[in-house]
Amino acid sequence: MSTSAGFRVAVALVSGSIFGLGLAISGMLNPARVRGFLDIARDWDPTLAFVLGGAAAVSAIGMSMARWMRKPLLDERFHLPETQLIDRRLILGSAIFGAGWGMVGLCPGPAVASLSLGVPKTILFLGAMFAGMAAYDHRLGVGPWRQAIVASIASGGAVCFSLGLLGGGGSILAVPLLLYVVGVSNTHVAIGTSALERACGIRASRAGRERVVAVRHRLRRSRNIGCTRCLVGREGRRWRNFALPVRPRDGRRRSDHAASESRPRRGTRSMRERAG
Amino acid sequence: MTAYISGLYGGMLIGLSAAMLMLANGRVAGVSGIVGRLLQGVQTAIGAAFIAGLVVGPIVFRLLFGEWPEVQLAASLPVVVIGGFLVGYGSRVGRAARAATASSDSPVFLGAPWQPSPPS
Repeated sequence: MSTSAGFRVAVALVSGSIFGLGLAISGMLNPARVRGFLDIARDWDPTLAFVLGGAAAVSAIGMSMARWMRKPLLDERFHLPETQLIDRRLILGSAIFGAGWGMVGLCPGPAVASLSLGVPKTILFLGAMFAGMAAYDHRLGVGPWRQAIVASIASGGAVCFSLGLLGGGGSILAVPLLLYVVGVSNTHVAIGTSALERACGIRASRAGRERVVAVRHRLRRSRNIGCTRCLVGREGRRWRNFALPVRPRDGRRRSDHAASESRPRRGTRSMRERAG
Repeated sequence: MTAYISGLYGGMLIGLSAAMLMLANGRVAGVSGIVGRLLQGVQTAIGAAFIAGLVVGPIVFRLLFGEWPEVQLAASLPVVVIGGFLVGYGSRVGRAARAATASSDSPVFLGAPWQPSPPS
């Protein structure tokens, strides 16, 4: 038995290196090639189709031989996927997989094989891939993934509603929701996830806020009005109230108006007036 | 054209590798599955050997042809990270069905009769 186990390992080693050699010869270690195939809009590279064709032709011979065998040469039985049913889960998984594949041009085989080339980006890709697998296996558990996803979306909605309504209640809700509704078993994971989500959310919303400020800055500078970003009006005076002045009705120039000491109204309304 | 020919040859080698693993060990040469099982700590020896062979493959290429295979990765670092995460996650989502049903020793196959039955 142990010799047969040794043979099995040896065959796996040889088979793996033939796989890796095939990947290298076919050019499939090169993500640019793969993306050349996936991106049909720009000059299309059909090499991947030839690789698939060659692989399918040869392995089909092997598979049809396997079909006539009662058991494999070195093992007691064939270890095949328990289901060959194409269900929604498989399609969803393939779609997620394909999205990542198309983005980078790497899939697990070439990513592992090009470890020996020492390209930093592919190593990073592998790390992210392991993280993705581990995230699925550990956070959701393997069984009730659908309930977990629905529960996460519902909890996320509750957190967003509370944040939008009250301006608070993000993390203070997120941790118990993750623990009791989504079913994360480990408190520390829940706290960390919530903190990570907060960090990403704040970073993302900051980008939007900065865009608003930049647009307002350009608008106000082009109209010679003080601005929250530079905090300085045209005349070099510090702008105090961070708000636009009332639209001048009496034909005075805006800069004159801004220079006067009249109390400006709130920004949004006068901005709306200006736009309309 | 040479790229297509070498693609074909490379593909045939990949097919040979898959056929070999199936005929000798009765296992599917699916890298994501093998890596996933390694991460879960299942079936480690054969999986580790296959992965080690996979890493050796480009070195064999170097010995045969005197140069490393070409790698051009245009994607930026965040895209690489997101893409890698999606690939890993998606490969597990697609496989969850089998983990959920992997209870019996005699699996039910739909379609092809893989069970040892006399061909008719």
